[in-house]
Order: sequence, then C-alpha cells, then structure tokens
Amino acid sequence: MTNEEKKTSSEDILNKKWDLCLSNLLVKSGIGLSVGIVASALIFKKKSWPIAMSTGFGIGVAYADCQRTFNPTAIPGVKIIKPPPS
Amino acid sequence: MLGAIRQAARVRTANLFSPNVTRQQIFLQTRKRIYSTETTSKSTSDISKAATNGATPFKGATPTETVKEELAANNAVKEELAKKKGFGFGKFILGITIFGGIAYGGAVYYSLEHEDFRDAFVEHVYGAEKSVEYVEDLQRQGTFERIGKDVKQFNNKAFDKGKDVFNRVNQIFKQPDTVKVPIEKIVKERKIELPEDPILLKLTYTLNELIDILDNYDVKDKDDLIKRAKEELRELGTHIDLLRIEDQARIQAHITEQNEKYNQLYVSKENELKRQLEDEKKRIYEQHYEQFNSELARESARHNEELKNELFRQSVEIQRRWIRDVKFMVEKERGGRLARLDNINHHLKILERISVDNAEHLDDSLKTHRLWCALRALQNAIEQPDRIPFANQIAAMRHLSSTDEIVTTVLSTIDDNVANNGVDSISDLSARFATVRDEVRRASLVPENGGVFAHLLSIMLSKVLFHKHGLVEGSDVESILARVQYHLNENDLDTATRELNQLKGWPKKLAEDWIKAARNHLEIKQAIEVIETQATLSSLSVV
Repeated sequence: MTNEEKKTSSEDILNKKWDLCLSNLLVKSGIGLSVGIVASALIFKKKSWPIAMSTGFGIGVAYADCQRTFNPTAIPGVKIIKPPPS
Repeated sequence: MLGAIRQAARVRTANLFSPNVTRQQIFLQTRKRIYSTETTSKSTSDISKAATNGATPFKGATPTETVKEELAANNAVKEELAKKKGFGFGKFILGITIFGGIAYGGAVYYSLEHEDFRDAFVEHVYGAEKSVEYVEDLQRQGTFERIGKDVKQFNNKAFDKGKDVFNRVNQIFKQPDTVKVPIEKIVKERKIELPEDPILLKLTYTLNELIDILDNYDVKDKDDLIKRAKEELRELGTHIDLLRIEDQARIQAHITEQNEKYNQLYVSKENELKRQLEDEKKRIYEQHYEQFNSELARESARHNEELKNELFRQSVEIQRRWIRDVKFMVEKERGGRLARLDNINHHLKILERISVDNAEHLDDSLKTHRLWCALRALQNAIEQPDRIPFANQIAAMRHLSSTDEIVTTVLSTIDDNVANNGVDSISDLSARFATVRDEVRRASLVPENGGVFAHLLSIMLSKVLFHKHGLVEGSDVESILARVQYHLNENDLDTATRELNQLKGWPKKLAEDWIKAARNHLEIKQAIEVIETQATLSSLSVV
C-alpha cells in the first residue's frame, strides 16, 4: 500500500478525464433509468415518459459534471475577460 | 363701347411703356376713360366717338392718333432723360475713374518713399501690394533712371541742335567782317613796321594814328616828317637794344665772378673734410687693435685653465678604475671556492621540490582516473533503457573532486530527486513521444475554454487531419510534431525539446511531463559533458 498513488503523467490527463466522464455518464444515467422505472411504476401509472425524463436528468447531470471537469472555469453566469495585452 | 375698351387697353399699354409719364397725364387719361365709358354705355359707336372726341381737351384728333402722339412724346422724353442720364452718368464715371487713378498713382508714389504709409496702403487697399511691388521692381531695375537719362540726353541734343542753328545764323550775319581785315593790313604797311618791345609798340600805334590823321590833311613836308619820325623811332629801338645788350653783359660778368668765388670755397671745404676723415679712421683703427690684443690674452689664459682641469679629472678617473679592477680580481679568486658550496645546496633544494611535485602529480592523476571511472559509471547509468538512480555515483564524484570548483558547482546543480529517480534515455523518450504525439493530436483542435463537446469534436475531427513528416515550417501543432519527430530521429533531443515547448494550450499541458523528463536528461548530459571536459583538462595537467 503506497501512500501516494502513482502520479499521472501529463499525457494521460485527458484520458483520465474521459474515463471519469464516461463512468459518470453510465452511473448517473443508470441511476436515472432506475429511478424513472420506479417512479413510472409507482406514481405515474405505467406511462413511459417519466423513464425517459429521468434518464435524461441523469444524462444531464453527468454532462454537467463532465463539463466541469473539462473546463472548471466555465461557471454559468460568469464570463472571464482577459486583460488587454500591455 | 368696344372702341372705348380698345382705347383703354391702348392707354394701359402706353402706360406700361412710358413709366415716366406724369401723374397728371394718367389722371387725364383715366378721366377720359370714365367719360368715354359713360357716353358709350348709352350710345352707339358714333356717339362714343363723338364723346371721346369731346373728352380729349388738349388734342382734337382721333384716339389712335392721340395715343400715337402720346407714345412719341413719351419716347422723346425718355430719350432726353436717357441722354441726360447717359451723358451725366458717363461724365460722372469718367471723373471718378480719373480721380481714382490719380489718387492711386499718388498713393503708390508716396508709398515708395514712406514705409508707414506703404504698410497701411498695402493692408487696406485691394491690389495695392501688386502695383507697389511692380513699381518697386521697376525702380530697382532702374527704368526710371534710364528714362530720366534718356530725357536729359534728348534735352541736351535738342539744346545743342538749337545752338548749332543759332551759330550758323550768326555766322551768316557776320560775313562782312572778313572783308575789313585785309584792308587794315595793306594800310599798315605804308606806315611803320611793328617792333617787339611793348612800349615801342604803343609808341608806333600812336604814331600810326598821327600818320593817319596827317594823311587826311594835306600838310607840307608831310613825307619828311613821317620819314624823320620813322628814323628816330628806329634809332630809339636800336638804342634800347644796345642798352639791353650792355646790361646783359654786365650781369653775365657778375654771375661768373660769383661762380668762381663759390667754387673756391667749395674746394677748400672739401679738403678740410677729407683730412678730418683720415684722422678719425686712424684713431678707430688703433682702438680696435688694442681691444683685440687684450681679448686674445684673456681667452688664452682661460683655455689653459680648462685644459689643466680636464687633465686632473682624467687622472683621478684612471686611478679609480685601476683600484676597482684589482678588487674584483681578488674577489673572484675568493668566491670561487664558496660558490661551489652554494651550488650544491641550490641543487639539493631543486631536487626536493621536484620530488614533492612528482608526488602531487601522482595524486592528482589518481584522482582524475577515479573521476573518470565515476563519470563512466554515470554515463552508463544514464544510457540504460530503464531508469536507474545514480545518486551513488554522484556522491562518489563529489568526494573525488573536492578540490575542483567547477565540478563541485556542477554537481550541486543536479537535483536530488533526479539523482534518486534516474533519468530516461533517449530511446525511452522517443518511444514515449509516440504516445504523447497521439494524445497531442487528439487535443489539438480544442479551443481555449472548451467543454465536453469541444473535446469530443476535437477527438473526432483530428482523425481526419493529415499527418506531416520531416522538417516542415509552421507553428501549428502538426508541423511542430513533425519537426520534433525529425529531430528525435537525428537524436537531437535539445532541439526536439525546444520545438515541443512551442506548443500552446491543451497540447502543451499534455506534453509537459515529456518535456520535463527530456529536460532532466539534457541537464544531466550537460553536467556530464562539463565534468568530462574538466577531467580531460586535468588529465592533461593543464588545470
């Protein structure tokens, strides 16, 4: 058991990010799907739209997380203005 | 009624053409019209005619005729007025122009002399500057002087011509004078010849006059008297001549006497001066001779003194030298034996120093050899395909080169981490570059603040890009990668690293680790090179 993990070499940064993204996508959409199925079964009288909507929510959350990992400065509602070159 | 209307119309047109028709005329015309309309409203054209006839008090003619007359009169008036106006206006304009011209010319002329007036004139009057400048130019060119000279010349010529004419006229009138002269000459010959003396001349003139008078009267013995007068006058003349000659002779004698006297005086004076000069010469000569003798004696005495001094000095010098030589020879003899002992001592010292140096050299060379070995070990470690830590080797080298400043400095620059972890070899780095290149290609199209989809697009579209090879120019990602590959193929890690450092943004971030590793390798290699050179130099015992 090493104290610190092996450091990621710089060329693998993006790969790691993609890994995170994809795993996030799968997990969250899976959760969304299951929640949708449950909700549709219990509350919404076996309609199909809650499933789709819930899955969509899951995908959306995954997308937002992905966006944050790839570009942490793109906070909604905030624009970064670069100072003019002097 | 029609006729009245026509008349009225005609009157109106007449009014238009003659604006200077008087009010009274207009009034009359209107009254006429009124009358005419009154009558014609009741009657036929005949009655209207009669009425109009009656309504024209000043001319008993038909309306057309009256109108015509009126027009004619108006025209006449107009012409008169026009003439008056034209004539008066023209005269006025002419007068104004002439006056203006004179004033302008006068102003220009005045401004030539006075500066203040010139400034004011030029400032306020339009076109004044040009004319003043023109006139000044003319003045400078001297046209005025020329014109003045011409005029004067012409005047002179005219005056001369006038004088000529006058002279010629005078001459014509003076002709009769020439006739008189020869007559006088003839008359004089009969009388007495003119002597040169002025007093006698006067006398002859009076006698001539008397002869003239006598000629007029018939006196007896006239000719005898005249002849006697002539004779006596001639005698007088000769007497005067004789007196003159006597006088001259006397004067001449006096002059020669004076001349002789003065000549004698002069000669005596000359002799005296000559004697004086001789005396002076003799005296000066004797003086100089004495002076010269005394000088000569003095000079010879001094010279003798000098020679004696010189002789004395030289004798002293020779003696001293002789003594020195003797001393030197004695010393030489004495020093011979001592010098030999000194020599031996000196040699011994040299030998000591040589042995010590030798020992030092051996130590140094041993150290250098050891350093070389350590260096070789380090190089070996670096060129291994895996990372091998070389901290031991560096420690050993540090120990070995404690005296060398450069080596210690270089060794101190090597990072401990690097020493502990080892460095990648060039082959390692080349292999790693392949992966780095693929990653960089995938991220090459990402914009600055791209999100997920930007990265996704970049990945997809970069698969469509063409790959470049070889040494291509350009600063885009593909060219840089091609160049780096080319340099790596030539084993030129330094240039490859520099090229890769030119990436920007995400590609740079991905390539950072590779660049760091390459840098480490390059640093270690540089350190090794420096130590190598140092070791070479010390092994050549230059350092």
